[in-house]
Amino acid sequence: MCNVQLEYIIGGENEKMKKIALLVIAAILLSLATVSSASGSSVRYSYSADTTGRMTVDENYRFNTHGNPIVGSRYSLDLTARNSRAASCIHDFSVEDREVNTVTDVIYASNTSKWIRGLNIEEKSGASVIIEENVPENKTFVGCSESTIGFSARVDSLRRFSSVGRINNGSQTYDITTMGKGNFDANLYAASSEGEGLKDGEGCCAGSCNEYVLRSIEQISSHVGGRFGDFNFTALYNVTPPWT
Amino acid sequence: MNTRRVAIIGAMIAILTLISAIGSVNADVSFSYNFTGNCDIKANDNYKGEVISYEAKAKSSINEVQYSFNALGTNSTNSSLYHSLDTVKGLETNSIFNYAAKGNSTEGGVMDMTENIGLTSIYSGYASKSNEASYEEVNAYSKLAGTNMLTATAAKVGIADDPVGLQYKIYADGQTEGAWANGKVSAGVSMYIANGSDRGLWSKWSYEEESTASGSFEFYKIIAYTSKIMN
Repeated sequence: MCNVQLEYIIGGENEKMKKIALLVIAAILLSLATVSSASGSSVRYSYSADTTGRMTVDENYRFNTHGNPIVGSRYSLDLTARNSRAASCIHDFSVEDREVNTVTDVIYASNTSKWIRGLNIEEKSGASVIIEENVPENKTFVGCSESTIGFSARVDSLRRFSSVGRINNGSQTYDITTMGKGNFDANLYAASSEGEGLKDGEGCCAGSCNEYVLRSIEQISSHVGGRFGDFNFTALYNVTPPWT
Repeated sequence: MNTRRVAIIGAMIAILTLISAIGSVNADVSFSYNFTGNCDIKANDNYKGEVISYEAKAKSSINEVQYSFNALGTNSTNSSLYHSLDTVKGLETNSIFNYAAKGNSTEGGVMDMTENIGLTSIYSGYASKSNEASYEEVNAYSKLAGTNMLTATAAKVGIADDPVGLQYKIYADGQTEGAWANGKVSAGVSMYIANGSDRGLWSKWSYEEESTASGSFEFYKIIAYTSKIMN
């Protein structure tokens, strides 16, 4: 969830001037969490946090099925904002029928008169799937896919970061819009393979194969980043295994 | 003042060997990003895909595509980078790198972009009635250096379904006086093909080529390769 502490350090022009801190003024934390079902199959929460000082957000989600297919979803958000006159975080997270949807909107404007400034955003999501399926000609098709998409920034000073993410059944999309100043990195990694499953030399063994023949492999990585300048950056990432 | 202008228009290589439809398609991975601003840029994309096909014991093939994209820019008064990549059938990419720097090359403004795309295939038993393996390797590339430029590249590689082949296009502007584009650009291709013949004899063929421009230029080049390895 979202913790908000307010703290700012006033740095004077004189270096001997020590830190003066820990004033709590003007903070709004609206945190709403709704667990729709105790079964874990449906979770939804959203929050909005505004601060003039320190902000910490730390979220982690992980989901895995067992058996055939094996489906996995991962999501994490780590946001730290320090020493700011204005920082806000609006975040929605939901899981329903194994589909994960996230919306994140961060606004940050550092007070450049201060010598300590900050903001760290790191948002990552991942999807994986392993499937075994009997197909015609007495064969077993085996597909395996995994992917990770992420955005990270260590600023000063990003103005806005917005993202919309979706993870479902081994597929994922991630839409980023960010603008401002400072440094950021966006990354994608995806790998997949296809093969044929056998059991004691025979096919049609979905779920119980003990031998695999590799047919194809695929790997892709992408990194784009900016360093200490003004930027507008938009990106749309998509990973979809064709057999899910 | 360097007013030298190099114009290279048209370089097309079409090599028809043999055609084969093989393998299956892996995950559909696609992404595009657009980066504008007055800032530093660093981008790096890498792709490797391999399809292994066993139609029969005497007919097997391995098709591999490799791709890498590196872009680097430093502080400028105007810069943008667009890049897209899609792996629906093989690999398809597009990029536009627009870059400007105040002053001349000694006062700052750097742009650097390299792109490599390669296709490697090994066929066993596909070359006519011979059991000899056939082999093809094609690599296309481009290298660009700044400082004021507008460049665009497009690459396409098919390793499944449709004919196995590779296409690469590059365009760098600067045709008229005062237009963008500055110094150094090169693009080339290397190919090596070995086919088994009806009587088990081998034919080997290789080709290497590179075009280079230096100075304020317009540079346009297309490289195309289509495999025709068939039974």
